[in-house]
Amino acid sequence: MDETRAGACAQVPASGLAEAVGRSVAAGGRYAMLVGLDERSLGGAGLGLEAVLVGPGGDLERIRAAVPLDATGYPSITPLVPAAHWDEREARDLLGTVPVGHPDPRRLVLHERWPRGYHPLRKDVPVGARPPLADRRFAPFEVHGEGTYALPVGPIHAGIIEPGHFRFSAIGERVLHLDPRLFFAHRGLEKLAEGRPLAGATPLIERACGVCGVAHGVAWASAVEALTGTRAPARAAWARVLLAELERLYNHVGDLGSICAGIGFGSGAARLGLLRERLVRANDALVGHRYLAGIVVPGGLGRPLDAAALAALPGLVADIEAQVAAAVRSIVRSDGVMARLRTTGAVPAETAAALGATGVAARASGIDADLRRDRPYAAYAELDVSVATAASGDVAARFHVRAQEAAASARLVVEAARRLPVGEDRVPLGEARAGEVAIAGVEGPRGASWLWLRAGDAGTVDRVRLRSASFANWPLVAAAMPGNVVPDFPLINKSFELCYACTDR
Amino acid sequence: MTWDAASLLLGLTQTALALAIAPLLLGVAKRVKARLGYRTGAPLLQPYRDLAKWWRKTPVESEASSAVTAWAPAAVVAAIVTATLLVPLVGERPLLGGSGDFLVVVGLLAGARFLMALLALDAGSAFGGMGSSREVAIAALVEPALLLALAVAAVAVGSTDLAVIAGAGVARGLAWLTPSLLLGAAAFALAAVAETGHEPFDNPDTHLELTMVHEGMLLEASGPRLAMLAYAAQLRLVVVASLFAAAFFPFGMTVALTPLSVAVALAAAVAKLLAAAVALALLDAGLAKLRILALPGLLGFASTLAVIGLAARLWLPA
Repeated sequence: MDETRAGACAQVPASGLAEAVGRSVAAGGRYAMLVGLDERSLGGAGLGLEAVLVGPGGDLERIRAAVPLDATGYPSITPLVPAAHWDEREARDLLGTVPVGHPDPRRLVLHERWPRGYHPLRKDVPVGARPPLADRRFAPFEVHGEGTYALPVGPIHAGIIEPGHFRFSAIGERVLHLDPRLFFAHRGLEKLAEGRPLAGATPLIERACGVCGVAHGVAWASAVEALTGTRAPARAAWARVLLAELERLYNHVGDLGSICAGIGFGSGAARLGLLRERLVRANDALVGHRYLAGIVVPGGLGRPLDAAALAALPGLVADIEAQVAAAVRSIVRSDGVMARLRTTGAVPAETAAALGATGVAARASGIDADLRRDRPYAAYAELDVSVATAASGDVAARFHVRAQEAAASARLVVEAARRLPVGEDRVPLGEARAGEVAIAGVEGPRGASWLWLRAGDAGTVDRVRLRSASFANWPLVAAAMPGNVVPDFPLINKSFELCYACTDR
Repeated sequence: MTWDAASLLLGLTQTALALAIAPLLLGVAKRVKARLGYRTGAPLLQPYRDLAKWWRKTPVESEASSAVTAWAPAAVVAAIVTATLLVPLVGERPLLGGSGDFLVVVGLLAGARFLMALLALDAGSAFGGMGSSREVAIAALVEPALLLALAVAAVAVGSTDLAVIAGAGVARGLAWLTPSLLLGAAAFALAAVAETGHEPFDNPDTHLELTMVHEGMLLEASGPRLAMLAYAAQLRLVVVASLFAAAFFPFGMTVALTPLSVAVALAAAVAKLLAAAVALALLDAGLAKLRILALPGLLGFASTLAVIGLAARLWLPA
């Protein structure tokens, strides 16, 4: 797992961070994430920011700058690299690194009732601290002009879904602007992990959300193994592929059904929902958890796979793959359904690339990227991962890409189950050196999830950042909306099908 | 018009049937949809329990509401119940037969809708306004389609009185179903799907606020007011289905008041209403909703069918 242990890190002055990141992107690098740091725990003087990029050859590039503790800040990266916009706002809220010249300086993670100047990820703020509530109000984004109106939706919805507030500015049914407001489910998971033993923080990261647990778990396990010099056994590496593809499969099948539900196409939603249910039951039989929690741990597997369920898995998954394909064919044949999907919520390739889109959302807009192929982890280097793309960037494109990926995942499940080596499930972890950094990128159901981890004293977590795929893609949902009609939002939203919990953390 | 005891009894029976069966139709439709979605579904009588439950609850209202919120639900129910009294179902003479023709019935449905829209705006929430704006936009196209479709039947007998139309239909038997009348029936059926809020026009089961039309107007209602509005929506289906049956498919309706013919007519009426509920459930399960900006095209198509039916009736030999 040497590729996970972070390589050299270029040090630049705070004033030169934006330029350095911009140069790297201009040279073909893909922006991955920005990590805000409080260096005082490791003998530093102030704050820090580290930008992580994937170079054209797939190698990681790290660019770090020291940022002062006061509010003088640093020149914002966003004007040069728009994909950094939410990262910079998050680091400003949680650590107080002020991006000077950021085009949207509003708060992101910490809503208005958090007091000014209070940055919970700073090392001098104790875990579990409860600051006094500030007396400030949410100032919504507004569009003015004759015939315009604002439509606030959520965070409490008519259906049982995660909390998010969406403010539409519209003329009639036509949307002019969508301002999403998330982070209602911010639990401070990264803060809670700090100071815990590396092995003990696993559930915090894995369960940042319910349906990306394997992706986050594999990223976490890879990073911890890299820091502790541990090599997970071959059986665990192959089992992680198996589990990751099972996770992708049940997510994609469910999400294809959700697209049907978004246009009131009940029979399609029911058919795919039933197949998804069969998949999560197979998960339960295999690992004892419908959403595959608690199985991927640093060092290998948390518990053995059920032998009988494993033997039955290839036949079951092949059957479900055939039924999903049949359901998709009948959906694609329906003119009434496809008329709703085509041209709806289109995201041009340039927008997707500029905003740092990932996963299905990126590939449906023509961006050919997949970490399983581009930076293989677990046992992916030994597998042929086909990457599906589409050009139109609309709901139909995301539907098709997802359908193709579901079929490919089913085949990978069958192959991984066949090639799963016999051997031990788990090995003990080695020692981690304080101050060492590991960075892991995993292609989850919603795209690339990046995890940045630095060890503290005595094998504890000094700082962990989970940049989930959903976090990267939410701004795309807002960008996809203008020009569409209000009642198409649920459909467009479901075509991305992003999580709130692993965005908010 | 004079009433003898037998026809008065028949009128009362018919009204009781219409008022009592409305929630059952929803229960049947929901059951059909559940079964098509591989689910067991709620008991058939669940809509009655829901109404009883809401009836016992204390209504909660928005700070922005006016007196409209308090009285409009009852007025909506009153309008739809009155419409029920005007449409033949079991026999050709409903309780208020002769007091109003189908123009009055469609007018009452439209009046109830106007009150609903007013009520939805009254709470001051965005969804109510959004739902009522969509509902009114759709209604503006549905009402002409309904009236044009019924006009085909009216022209065939030279009267807009539903009792006369239904009576003529029963008397003529299958000869009633001329090509022009079938065009009118198709136009009415299409408009009726929109009128009762089913797919591809509206999805009555959705929890997605932004896609709601009729349900959007109910989001702020609670307690007995919600019960009344929900019941009014259930009864609206009975009225619309009865209108369709009276004008285009009156067969089975009793003219003679013998026990046997009344029993047959009752069974026929129940069968027609259930068929309407099942048909709408099949549409809900099998179709995707149309994009909202495409709805006028489909409703325009309904009106066009009715106009062709009228033209065929007026200019071609019958």
